[in-house]
Amino acid sequence: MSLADPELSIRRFTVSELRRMKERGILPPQARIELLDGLLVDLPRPSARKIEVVRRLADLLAERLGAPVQGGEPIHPDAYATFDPNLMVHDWETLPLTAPYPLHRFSVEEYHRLGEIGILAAPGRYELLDGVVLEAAHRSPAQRLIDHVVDLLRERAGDAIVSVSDAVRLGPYSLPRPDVTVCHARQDRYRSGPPSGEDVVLAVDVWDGPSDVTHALRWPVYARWRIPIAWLIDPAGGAVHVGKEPSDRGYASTERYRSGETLSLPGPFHDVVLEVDDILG
Amino acid sequence: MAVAVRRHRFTVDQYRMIQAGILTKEPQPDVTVLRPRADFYRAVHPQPGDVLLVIEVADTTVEPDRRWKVPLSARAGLREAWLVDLNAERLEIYGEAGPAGDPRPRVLSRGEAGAPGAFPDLTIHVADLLG
Repeated sequence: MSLADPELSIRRFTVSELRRMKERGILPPQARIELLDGLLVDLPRPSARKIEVVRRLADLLAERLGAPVQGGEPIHPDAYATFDPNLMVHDWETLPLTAPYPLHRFSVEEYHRLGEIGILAAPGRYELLDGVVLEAAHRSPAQRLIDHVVDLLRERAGDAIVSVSDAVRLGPYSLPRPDVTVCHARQDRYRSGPPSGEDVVLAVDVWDGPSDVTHALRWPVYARWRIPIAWLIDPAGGAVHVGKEPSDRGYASTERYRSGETLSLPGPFHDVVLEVDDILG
Repeated sequence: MAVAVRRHRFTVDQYRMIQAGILTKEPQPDVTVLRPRADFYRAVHPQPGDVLLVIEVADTTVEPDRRWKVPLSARAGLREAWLVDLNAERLEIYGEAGPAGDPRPRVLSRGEAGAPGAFPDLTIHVADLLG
């Protein structure tokens, strides 16, 4: 899966939004970031040779034109984005449009601040996956099926907390919104902050048809942050795809369950057994 | 024209953003030469019409700069773009002649010299850029 997928809807930004991010300190004022067709990309750190030639060129033009040279020092330590690749699942750098300029990645804190300053004013419309803001609006998984699955899980899984399209905090750069999330019971019902991977028992997504690639982006992130089981319900195909054994490289085991088969939940909920036919309604 | 006449008229800028065209592009060329402005663009971002020349200097990003940034400059209405290719040791001048967006550059190698369209007297030797 790559961002080149036409069905993927990356939140694009405008020039005025980029300026506000710098004014409000979400990006350092001297950040070497370009906005190209609405995509924020990080400029690679220049080589010593490039810096030398840029300086020589600017000085030469300035001298010949009798003009002052302005502009920032290109090697300011805060100017270049740095990310720990071990925290990332998706190789967003493979986007053919922008390669080798990597897409800029926002942390969860920066993403929240974008909401506070009104750039992502309706946070329910967006999710953050590996630092890239995606729009949820293009998906419309069957609401009736989601409601049914929620009712079923609430009924069977007792004191677990079942929620719909709520954010889950997975590491420093991801805040996905699974269609349905089942979390371990907690006194404050996660009012103090979104659940993390270890709080989640099960993440469920409903497939919205051939153009829906959301699960292909979410599953590797779920697995990287150790959500133990993920379901992808395919109502048209009459099946539930189940991902198990989460690892840094995705779910090691994926199986398809069909009519007549049963599914169970992990850990303390292992005695909760659901029929595929019940799930599909 | 004597250089003295032009003193402090233009602005040569490293890494300033240009607001280009529709509001979804804000490239940061390596060097830009801007039209004179009393405040040296402290208060406003340069618009495409203010830009006399943009220059990209590339080693690791030659291919995308050529394929992507140069056409973007042309679409945004910048009249001329230079690409200094440090690997091939050459200067590519885009937009000098031909219709806007013509991707075919004039290519100058180390022994040659060229001048920006906006400053025909300002002959620059490629060898002086490369050092």
